[in-house]
Amino acid sequence: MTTKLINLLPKEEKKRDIRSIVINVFMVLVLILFLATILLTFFLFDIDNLLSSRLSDYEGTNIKVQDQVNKLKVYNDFKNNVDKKSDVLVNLKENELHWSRALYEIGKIMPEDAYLISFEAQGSQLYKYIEEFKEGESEEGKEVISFNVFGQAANYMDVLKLSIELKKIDNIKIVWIESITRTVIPVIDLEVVSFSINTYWDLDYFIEGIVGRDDSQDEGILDEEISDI
Amino acid sequence: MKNLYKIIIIAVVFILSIFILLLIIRPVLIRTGNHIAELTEEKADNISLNSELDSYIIARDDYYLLNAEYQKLNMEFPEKNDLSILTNELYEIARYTAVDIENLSFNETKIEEEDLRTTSSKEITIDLILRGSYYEILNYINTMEVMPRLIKIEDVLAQNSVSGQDELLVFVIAKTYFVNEYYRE
Repeated sequence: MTTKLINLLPKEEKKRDIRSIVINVFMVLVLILFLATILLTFFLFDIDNLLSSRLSDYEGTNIKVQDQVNKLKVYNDFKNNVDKKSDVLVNLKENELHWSRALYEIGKIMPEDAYLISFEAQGSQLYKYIEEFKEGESEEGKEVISFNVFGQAANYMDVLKLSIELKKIDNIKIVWIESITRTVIPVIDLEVVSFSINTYWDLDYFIEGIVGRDDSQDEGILDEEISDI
Repeated sequence: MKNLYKIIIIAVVFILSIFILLLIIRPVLIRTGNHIAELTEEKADNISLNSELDSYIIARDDYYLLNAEYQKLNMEFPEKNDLSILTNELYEIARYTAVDIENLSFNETKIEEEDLRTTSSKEITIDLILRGSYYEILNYINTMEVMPRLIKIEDVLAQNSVSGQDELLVFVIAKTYFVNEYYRE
């Protein structure tokens, strides 16, 4: 048979100390805060050291790279100089006329019964017109003379043949027969015709290049502006 | 432990934390911020310097090629007027093509003071009077056009010479150029 033990002593009443609990909680919180502060300090020092070392690495690298850049800059300056000179030359060579070709062509196409007394090529007129065009001062619809030929032929048909052939020369747009005059050569008493023919350039051919280049320059500037944005 | 002691400990620890925050953490944070800003700047510098360096390395690698091009350009468009060389070349061509040079003169086009820094090249006008047959003159003009130095033949006046049937008297006006040393882009 089992016996049950019964405690007959009165219950001890415990007083709950609220203030002490609050202080304890505060103390724990403050200690946690303190520990966190200490940890944060170490952490920040660590980060700062890491950043400092990275910064000094970058500074060191940049000094070395800058040094190399300074050494190699001379090559770049040289390249710029070559590019600049090349650009100037391209500009100077633009629309260069080759009169030897025209002279050769005229020699080739001369009718059998005609010969030239003089040939006058006036390239300066074209160069002047191109300069005026670039500056926007060119006269619209202006005809620019290419060359003038003056000679004699057996009859007017030879002059016509010559004028037709002259039109086939590169970049010649207009062939203008200025005059055909009947002449008698006194010594041999031979009747011939003296003629004078002017030729004029096809200006569109020369202007096209300038306009095309200006357009591409504008596009280039536009591209640069877009990439800047 | 008595509550009073606990309160004192709390106050001390709290004040200590505040001191740590103000005297250690704050300066470190400011320094770190500065370091980050400097690092960002250095990184950007590094990127731009490296790209600059890459382009310079390309220029260095192409040096011999560029130098050859520069020499060629110098022949076409010399740094100085080099009139002695040009005169020699024109007479050499005449000798080679059997053309007689009756007259040769050079005239440098003056650049106005205000245009001196905006004009890239100086210009020399060449006035030539030649005497020779059609094919000789043709050969001479053609050789002039293709000679290493840039010569632009502008005007040509060819007429029968009084002295001989097959001989032509030719007046040529041409232009050649050299670098204007005062030119600035």
